[in-house]
Amino acid sequence: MYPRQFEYVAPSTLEEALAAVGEGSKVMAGGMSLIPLMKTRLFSPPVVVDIGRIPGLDAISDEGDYISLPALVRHATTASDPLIATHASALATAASLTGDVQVRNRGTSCGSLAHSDVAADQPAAVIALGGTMIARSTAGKREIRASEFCVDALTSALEPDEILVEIRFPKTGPGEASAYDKLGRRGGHSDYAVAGAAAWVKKSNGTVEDARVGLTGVGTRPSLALGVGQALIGTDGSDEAVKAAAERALDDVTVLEDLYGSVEYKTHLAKVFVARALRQALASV
Amino acid sequence: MSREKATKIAAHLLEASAEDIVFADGAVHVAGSEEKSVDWSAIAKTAYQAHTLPEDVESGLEAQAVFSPGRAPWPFGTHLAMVEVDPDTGDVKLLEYKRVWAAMQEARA
Repeated sequence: MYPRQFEYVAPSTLEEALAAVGEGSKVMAGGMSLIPLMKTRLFSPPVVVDIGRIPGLDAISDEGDYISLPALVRHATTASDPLIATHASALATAASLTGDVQVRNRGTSCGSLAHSDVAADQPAAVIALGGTMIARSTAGKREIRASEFCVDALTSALEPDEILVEIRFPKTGPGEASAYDKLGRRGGHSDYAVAGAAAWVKKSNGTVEDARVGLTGVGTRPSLALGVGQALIGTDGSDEAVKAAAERALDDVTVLEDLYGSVEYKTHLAKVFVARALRQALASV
Repeated sequence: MSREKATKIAAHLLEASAEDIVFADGAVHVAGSEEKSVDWSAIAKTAYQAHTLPEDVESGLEAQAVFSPGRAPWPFGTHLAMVEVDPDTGDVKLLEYKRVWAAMQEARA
C-alpha cells in the first residue's frame, strides 16, 4: 500500500501553514487517520501540509473564561490532562478510548475532529460539552459550534483554506458533569465505536436544568441528539426520566447499517449508551 | 522416506553406490567391506549441512508417523472459558480461561 505521489510541505509557523493550505491540500497533524486513507488511496491529496513542527500548539491551558485545546495536543495528553479531567471529563474518557497506545501518542484531538469520522470517540464528547471550534485562514478567524462542525461522512465544516487551530470548552460550573461510553468494534472499549454517546448535564436543586448528548457510530457523522436534552430538561434526572429521554436518541439521525451492526442493533445500542452516559454524568454531578 | 534419504547420504559419505549400502547394528557400511562405515549421527549431521550434500538431495532428515491405538483413549486435557455477556449490548467479556491437562495412565506419547 503506497500513496499516490504528493507534495509534502512542513511549515515552521502557523502563518506559513495558512499560506500553504488551499484547494487540493490536506492538513496533517499526527497523520493517524490521513496516512491510512492515503495509503489505501481512498483519498489522494496533491499537497500535504504537515503542521506537526509548528511550536506552541501542544499545551492545554486555562484561559479564564474557557479551556483551550490547541491543534497539536495528542490524544494521550487530552486523556491525562488535569484541566480536561476537571472541565471536560467526557473528552478525557473519549481520548483514553481512542485508537491504541501508538495512535494516542501521535494522533491529535483536533485532528480527530477535523477528520470527522462517524465512529470516532472525541467528536461526540466535544459536541456534548458544547465546544467551539476555532478555524483560522489567511482571511482571519472563524468560530464554529461543535454540533455544526461534523457535516457529513469524513467531512467537516472547514473550508479548504482553513486550519482547525483550537477547540474551546466552557469551564465546568456547579452542578455540571459529563461522561462518555461506547461499545467498540472488537468488544468492550476496543477500536472505533459501533455506537457510543457522550452526555453533559447541569443539575440544580434536584432538577436537570440543561443537558446535551453527542452520538457516535450511527448515521454518517457524529451528531447532537437534541431531543434527548429536551426530554430530560426539567425532570429530576431519575432512571425513568433518563430511559424516556434516551428513547429520543435517534430523532434526528438516519441510522445506517455497516460491517459492525444492523440498523436495529445500532439503534438499540445508541439508546443504551445514551442512557449509560447520562446516568454516569448525573451520578458525578 | 528417511531410510531412502539416509541411504543416499551414506552412499555419498562412503563414496559408494546406494545399492551397496547396508544398515546393520546402528550404523551403515558398504556391502562386503564392513570397515567402510558411518554411524547415524554422522548421517544426521550431514543431512543438515546443505553445502555438503549431493545436488539432488535436499537438506533435512525427517519422518512422521501417526499412532493409532486399538482402543479409544481418555482425553489428555480440556479447555474451559468463563464469560460475562452484557444483555443490553451483547458484548462478551472473557473473565477466565483455563486449560486442564491430565496425564493418561497408559499414555506413551
